[in-house]
Amino acid sequence: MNWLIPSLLVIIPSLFSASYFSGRFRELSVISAAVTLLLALAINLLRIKEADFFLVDSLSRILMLTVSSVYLLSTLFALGYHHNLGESRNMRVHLSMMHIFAASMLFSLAVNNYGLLWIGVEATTITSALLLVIEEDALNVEAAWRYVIIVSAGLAISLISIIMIYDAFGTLEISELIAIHHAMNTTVEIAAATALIGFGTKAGLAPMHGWLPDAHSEAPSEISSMFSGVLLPVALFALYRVYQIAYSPGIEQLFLFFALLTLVVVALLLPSQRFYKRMFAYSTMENMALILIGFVVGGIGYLGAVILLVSHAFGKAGAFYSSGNVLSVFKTKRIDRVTGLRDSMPQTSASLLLSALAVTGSPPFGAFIGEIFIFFAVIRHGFFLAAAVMLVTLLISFSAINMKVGGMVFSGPSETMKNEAGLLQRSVAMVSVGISALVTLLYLLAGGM
Amino acid sequence: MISEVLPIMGVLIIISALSIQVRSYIRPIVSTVTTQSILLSIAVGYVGLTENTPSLVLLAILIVVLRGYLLTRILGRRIPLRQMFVREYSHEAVTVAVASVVVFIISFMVYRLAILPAVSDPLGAIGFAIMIQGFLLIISRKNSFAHVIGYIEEENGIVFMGITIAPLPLLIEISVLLDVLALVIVSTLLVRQEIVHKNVEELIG
Repeated sequence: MNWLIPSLLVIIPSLFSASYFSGRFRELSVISAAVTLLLALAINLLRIKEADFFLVDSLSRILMLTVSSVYLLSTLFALGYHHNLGESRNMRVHLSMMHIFAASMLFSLAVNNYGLLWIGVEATTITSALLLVIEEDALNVEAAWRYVIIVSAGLAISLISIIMIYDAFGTLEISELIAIHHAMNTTVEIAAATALIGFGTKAGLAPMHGWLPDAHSEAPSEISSMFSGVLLPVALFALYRVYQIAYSPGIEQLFLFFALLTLVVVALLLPSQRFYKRMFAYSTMENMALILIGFVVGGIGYLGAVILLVSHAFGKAGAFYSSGNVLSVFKTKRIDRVTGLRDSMPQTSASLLLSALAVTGSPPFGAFIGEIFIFFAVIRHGFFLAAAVMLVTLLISFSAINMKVGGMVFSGPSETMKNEAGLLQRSVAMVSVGISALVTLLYLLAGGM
Repeated sequence: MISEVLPIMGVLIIISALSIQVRSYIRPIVSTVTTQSILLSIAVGYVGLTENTPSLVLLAILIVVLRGYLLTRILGRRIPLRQMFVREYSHEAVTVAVASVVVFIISFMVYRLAILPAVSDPLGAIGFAIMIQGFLLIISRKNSFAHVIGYIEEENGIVFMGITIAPLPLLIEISVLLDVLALVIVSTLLVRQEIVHKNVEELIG
């Protein structure tokens, strides 16, 4: 019966996508997300393990809970953020596609087959493409176009990885391949390298990241949150699944190289960012690179990667919700046009500032513990140059983001009268940032190391 | 027999890929990519029949229906609706044509040196090279139609690679999913945007 709850986890949001046809589509959307979250909680509390059609292990359980939580928060946020769309067709399509998008992510996390995993990740592209164009703005469409074209081209390369895995082993069953300790060969190394390029494109690794800042900055804020908070980690999860069977010293170095390259690219681009949503998008790239490093070095680094992944998901979701609230009042994404937030939007400024601190690894947020663990794991492995690159780039990114956000919050008098976003939107942003800090508490309650 | 039919189809697909790259008008490119898809379906169908694999025959039929007919028909119908032109600047097309030949050679060399020792199937090089040609078309052109055609070409390369290296158990599902994505792109995004992509200030940096 272990298959039942994971099945429901995928089926429930898929079924609720039919809420498009109901007059109560808003309520049904919240019910769908809430039930999905309860199912994910049940999977974690019952510690369900499964290795048949589904593969449910500790990592996929945590990710299922994270995806479901951000899905619920984003659904709630969307109801407030797009209230002007009323009962329109666009709003119905948007919420319906959000359910299918969540279902495709949960499917990717649950399946026990590399081919199906690829299908799941590709399905997230199809289902999320329409989510970017709800406002039908020319910029939205251009960003959606870049997203679909670049990501689908990248994922095509990851399909070579799946072909290579099948050629090498004659099966695509993940649990079976992880269980056997096979000898490393060139075919599997090619599989790992092509997966790095393919799934790495979707996970936002440089230099394949071209779509990411565009899509994140132009998507509605709840979709930016789902992209940054959970979609990219799902792609990283797919990459890690390949890495689990394709480990070799050469592949380890290749993965590390791309992760470090991403950190350097982000550190070079972040200080010159002029748009706050775009800035947070680059911050996501930084965090994904750090998580990848944690997965690659393993041990305490793996633990750090998981903590960072969860903490970042909620912290970044909070950052985008807060950005959405700022955008809805200031009507601009430019950093230099948003001033005096502390006076005009006191609650939003608090959630924005806290979320910026959360995603840049400040204590007491979980990202701080995660980054420390990853850093020490890298040093323990003797990768001193990598540790130095991490240290320098993290300092640059931390300074750039917090100085820019600090400027928006504290600088000068506001040109806008006090005018907060809706209560639901503000609450969702604050709850999301709160959960990001709670990750640390939960970790400490669980007995730390 | 397979060893003769597949290379012949492969060569014809390569010729169609080169033809796509050198053309600057969009409508003939749509026709050529349709031809390419049909050539691919013949190759897949032939392997399915000779190896007695019904799933590959089904895949061949799906390629003809979805990619050879439906997708390119929808794409073709969009062209006259847009009153603007349907032509790339010719000097860009010529430059890309030269580049595409160079990229073809590099693709074959990369496959021979990096992938062939692992998979021991030289025909996979054709699929690999076609896929890279699809990327080149996407990168080199600013026209939305060319992007979609590059994507279809890329799909064709993957399927050819799939049937020559290791026919995946999920190849049908994967192929259909890729077609669905292409249809989503064409039917929802292409109709809402400008044909030629320009630099936008908000999307720089």
